[in-house]
Amino acid sequence: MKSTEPGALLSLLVRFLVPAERREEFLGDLLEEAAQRRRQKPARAVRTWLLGQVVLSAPWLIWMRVAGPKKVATLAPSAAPAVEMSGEEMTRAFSAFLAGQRDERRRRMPVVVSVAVHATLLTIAAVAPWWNVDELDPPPVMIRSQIWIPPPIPVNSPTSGPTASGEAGAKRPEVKPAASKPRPRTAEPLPTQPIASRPPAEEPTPRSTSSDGAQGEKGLTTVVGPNGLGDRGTGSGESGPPGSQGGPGTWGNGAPLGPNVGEKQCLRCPDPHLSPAMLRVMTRAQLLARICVRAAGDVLSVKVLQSIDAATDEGIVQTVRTWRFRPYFVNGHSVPFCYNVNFVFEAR
Amino acid sequence: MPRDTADDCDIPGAFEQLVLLAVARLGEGAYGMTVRQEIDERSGRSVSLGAVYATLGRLEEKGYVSSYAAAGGPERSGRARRFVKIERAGTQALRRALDVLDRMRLDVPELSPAGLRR
Repeated sequence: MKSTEPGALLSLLVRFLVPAERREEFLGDLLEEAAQRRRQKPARAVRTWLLGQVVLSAPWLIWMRVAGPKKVATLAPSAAPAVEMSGEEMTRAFSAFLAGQRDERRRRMPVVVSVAVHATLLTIAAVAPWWNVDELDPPPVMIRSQIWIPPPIPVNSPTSGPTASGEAGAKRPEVKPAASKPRPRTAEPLPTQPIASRPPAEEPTPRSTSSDGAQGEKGLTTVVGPNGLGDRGTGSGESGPPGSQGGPGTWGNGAPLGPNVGEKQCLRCPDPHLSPAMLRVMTRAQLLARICVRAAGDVLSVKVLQSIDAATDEGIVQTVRTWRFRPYFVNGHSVPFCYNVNFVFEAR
Repeated sequence: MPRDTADDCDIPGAFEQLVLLAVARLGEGAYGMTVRQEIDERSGRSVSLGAVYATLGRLEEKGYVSSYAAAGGPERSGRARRFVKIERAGTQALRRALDVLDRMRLDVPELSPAGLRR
C-alpha cells in the first residue's frame, strides 16, 4: 500500500543498520523526538527529518555492527530487558507514526476549515451593509417639469432697455413695483406638466417680457412666455440690459414670439436625477431654476430660484448645464434667451 | 569486550567531550534522544542519533559511562530506552581534557580567560 511505503522503507533501513538488540531503543528515541517535532513542524518536514536521521546515522550504525554487538548493562534490577524488534514490528511502528501524522492533519483540517468559514461569514456580514446601501432600488419617481409664469407686464413699459448693447448691467434701471414685482412663487399654484407630454407649440399668445429674474446675465434677452420658455428678444441677440424689465417692443420689433421656445429649441436636455438617498426619503420635491442660454445654444447660467437642498440643487444644476439648444434666430440673428423651469419630483 | 577502565592518560575526543558533558548535564534523564537534543541545542551542532549511539557505546567501553535499559513511557509507546549515567572515570576524563585545554591556552592572550594566568 502506498501509505505504508515510507514506513517500510524506514523499517528496512533500520533493520539493515541497527543491531537487533538496539532496534527498539533506536526506534523509540527516533519516534519520540519525531513526535515532539510534529507538534511544531509540518508533517513533511518531520518525515524528512526521520529519513535524514536514519541515513545520517548509517555510517555510525554500520561501524557499531562491524565492531560487534554491545552488551546492554542492566544496573537496575527492575529494568526491562532489551527486546529484539522484528522488521514487521518496526514497519508497523513507522507506519503507525506516519498514519498518526495524517490523522492529526485530518483532525486539524475541520478546525481550520471552520475558522476560515466563520471568518469569511463574519467579514461578509460586517462589510455587506456598507456596499448594499446604494444598491437598493430607489422608489419610482415621476419627474415633471413645471413652468413658472411670471406676472404680466404692461406692454408699453417706459423703462425697457432700448438697445441690445450688451453693456447693460453697469446701470440697472429702476423697476416699477407694479411692473417688476413677481407673484409670490409659492402662493400661486404651479401648472404641472410631465416632461414626456410637453405641449406642442399651440399655446396662448405669449406674453413677451423681460423677466426681472435675469439677475444680471449680461447681454441676455429674457423673455418669458406662458410656459416660461424663452421668447423673442430684440433680434440682435444683444438686447436689453440685465435685469431690465423692458416690455415687448422696447428691445425688439414687438412681434410675439413663439411659445415654448426653450423646449422647442432644446436639442439635448436630459432629465436631472435625484440622489438615491434623496429618493428614499422624499415624496415630493420642487426646484425652480432660471436657465439662460447663449446665442450659440449652450447654457450660460442656471440660477436656482427655489431650492430643494444644496446638494440636490447642485446635482440638478450640473445636469442642466449640460443641456444644449438650437440657436434661436430672430431676424436672422441668433439671440440668447432665458426661461424658467420648475422641476417637480414626485414619488409614484 | 568493553574495557574496564580507560587509560589514565586518555583524553576524550571533542565529540566525546560533548557527549560526556551532555550526559553530565542531563543527569538521570540522559538517554540517546535527550543527549542528541542537548548537544543540538547547546552547541548548535546537528548530530545524528547514530553518532550519539556509537559515541555512547565507545564511552561505555572505556568505562566513562554506564547504561541500563528501562521500560519506556507512554510518550514512546512503551518502547524501551537506555539511560546513561556518567561514571567517575568519565568525570575524571572530562576534567583531564578540560585541564589540558586550559594549560594549552595559557599565555595565549587571545584565548586565556581572565584569572588563568601563570
